[in-house]
Amino acid sequence: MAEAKPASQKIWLISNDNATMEVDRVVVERSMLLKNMLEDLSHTDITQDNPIPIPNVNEAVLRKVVEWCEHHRNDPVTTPDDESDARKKTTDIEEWDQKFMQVDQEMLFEIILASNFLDIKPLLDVGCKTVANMIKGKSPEEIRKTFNITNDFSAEEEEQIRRENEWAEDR
Amino acid sequence: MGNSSSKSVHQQNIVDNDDDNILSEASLTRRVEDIHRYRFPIESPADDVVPTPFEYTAFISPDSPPLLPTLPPELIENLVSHLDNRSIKNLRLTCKHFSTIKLRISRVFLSANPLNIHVLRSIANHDVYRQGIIELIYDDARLCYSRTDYSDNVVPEDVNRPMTDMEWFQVERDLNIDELEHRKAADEPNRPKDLRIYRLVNAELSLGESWTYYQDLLRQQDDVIAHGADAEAFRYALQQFPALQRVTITPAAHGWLFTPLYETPMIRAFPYGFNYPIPRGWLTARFTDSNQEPAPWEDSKTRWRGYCLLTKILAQEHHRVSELRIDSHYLQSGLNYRLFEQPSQEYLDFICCLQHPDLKRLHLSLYVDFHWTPFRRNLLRNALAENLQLEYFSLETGMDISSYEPDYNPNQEWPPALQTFLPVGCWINLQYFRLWNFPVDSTDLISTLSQLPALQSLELGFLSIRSGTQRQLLENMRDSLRWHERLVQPKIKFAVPIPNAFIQGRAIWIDEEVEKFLYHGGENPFEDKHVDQVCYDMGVIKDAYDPGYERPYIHPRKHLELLQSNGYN
Repeated sequence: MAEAKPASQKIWLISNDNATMEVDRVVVERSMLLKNMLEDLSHTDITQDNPIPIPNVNEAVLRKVVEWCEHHRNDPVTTPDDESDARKKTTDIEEWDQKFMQVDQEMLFEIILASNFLDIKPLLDVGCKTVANMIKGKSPEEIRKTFNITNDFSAEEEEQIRRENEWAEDR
Repeated sequence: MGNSSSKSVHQQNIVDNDDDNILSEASLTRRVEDIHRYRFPIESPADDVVPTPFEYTAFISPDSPPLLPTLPPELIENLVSHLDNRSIKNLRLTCKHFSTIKLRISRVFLSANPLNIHVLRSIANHDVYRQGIIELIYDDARLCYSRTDYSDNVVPEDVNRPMTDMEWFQVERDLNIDELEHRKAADEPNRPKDLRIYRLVNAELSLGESWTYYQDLLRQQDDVIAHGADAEAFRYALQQFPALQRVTITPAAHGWLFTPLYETPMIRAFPYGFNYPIPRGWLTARFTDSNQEPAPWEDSKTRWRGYCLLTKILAQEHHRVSELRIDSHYLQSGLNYRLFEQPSQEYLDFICCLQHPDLKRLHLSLYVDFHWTPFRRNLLRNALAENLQLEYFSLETGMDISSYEPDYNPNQEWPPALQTFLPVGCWINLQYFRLWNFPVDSTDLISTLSQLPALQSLELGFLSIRSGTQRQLLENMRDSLRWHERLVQPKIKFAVPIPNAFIQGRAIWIDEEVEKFLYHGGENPFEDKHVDQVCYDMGVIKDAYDPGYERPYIHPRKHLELLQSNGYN
């Protein structure tokens, strides 16, 4: 627990398709799940031959997530914004993150799921904001097209939703 | 003065072209051309494009199954937290799976309009949404039938040649356009918000169509009033909204043309480009620069119909409302302060509202004249003294401070000292004190503030200082209150009118500068040469009806240069 943690200390992760990766401990600790896990282990417990298994994440996705954590290794720990505040700043995705998120939808949703599983809140938020930005300003039909969604409403059901929508302001 | 200058142009038109009716085909055509070509021109298709900040869309193969619906509910929730209601509505309309996403509804609207009532009742009957409602806003601006209904003032042209209702309707439509022109941000030609308005003005609904739609609204309004349907809906709301904290009654909901303060269901349902006489309901200074004397309460109270209804019901029914806002929202309007001249049923209802054990916050906009007679009686003070647990108190008047010079004008008087009509000594829990558009004596104000031990936040705006200046007021506050010695200093908001540019709701805010001066030895933001003028380059100009509008307060020469650099000359 209280052992020294040299900045260069290495951790090994293994994806669900058996790819092992060597990552700096500070980078791994962007994941709250792994950070808490490591705190309960001695630093000799994790070795190249005994890596931490990441069961839900494949190599390609894990590499992407590690890439993000590498880039953001020195970010200050975020305090939870209040909801309205987060909404206001929603289109503010920093440029590097915007580029990072220029992937196909399969990868985008995999990153979101992985960051949720690994508990990397800032990455999860960037992912969700990216999807939110793909929805904003689009009509229902354009949203369907964007995400391959099939309209399964009956005319009555659709009218019911339309009516309920009128209860809310647009803000 | 914005309104008065635009008014005089129109009066001129009516007089000059007496034989040329403003409703004639030729006149209406000229008007449309004038608007399209000169006043709100959309010059190129590029003007019409609203830029979106980030346009990347991740690719999905057309034969892939949809992935978005596979996200677990907690992630959908996160995603939705980044969307405004408009987008949530569209997402809900894509498929059944997403139709269960909840809209964000925390406030409801009510007025003498059946659609507003219908929506309020629908929400009140919904088991999830009704739990989340914390505010009810009553739009107390009934639509007017005619010129005389609109204003109690008789203006000269009415004497010479009474206006027909339709002429009045068209004159109001013109005044709306003038007001829009007056309020647009001339220094930022391609502002998306203004472009949206340009498009609406260019697509203005014709006089005939607008008139027909308006007449229908009037019939609906009559019907609601005849049956008291809004009163019944309010009673139901108190029953059905367990989390309701705040009740706001306001004449300002309609804001300005195409820019309402509140997008009530009624306003959202207007046809695109609908231009109609913006109602204010309550007595509102508009046709004269000086304040019209309000009629005695008993003779005039129907103007405040919503106020009367809601306070009566709040006095009668069981509820947990902790905040009451009678809010003219920076308009030169308010509750007729002659309510506090002599006892009446409505005065008793007001007392009853104040006595409620849950009431902690009160905002009171009053329509006053320059005699202050009701403030010299004890009724207001007695009513306010009924609530000793008050934490927030805000007093605002609708007076025209720019024409207020009681030291020179024998028809104007100074109001009595604050402490004679505000029971400040009783308010030991008061954390927030706000005084807006009010004449004060600086010694009286400072002594009032010194009696509020729990004060955490102070807002002062549009003050007129008796025998002194705002510069001196700040000096006296610093030296007498000595708040800078406190461990935690009250937060300060301070606003003044923009010199020679009166636009309702717009002000120079010098919060930071005042705090620096009071607490950190900064400069006094007021000039020492010109009485009561803020120094240039201090403060920020903001607009209460246009949240995105923010400008530095700069010298007119700099402003001109800025306009020229934007292609204006």
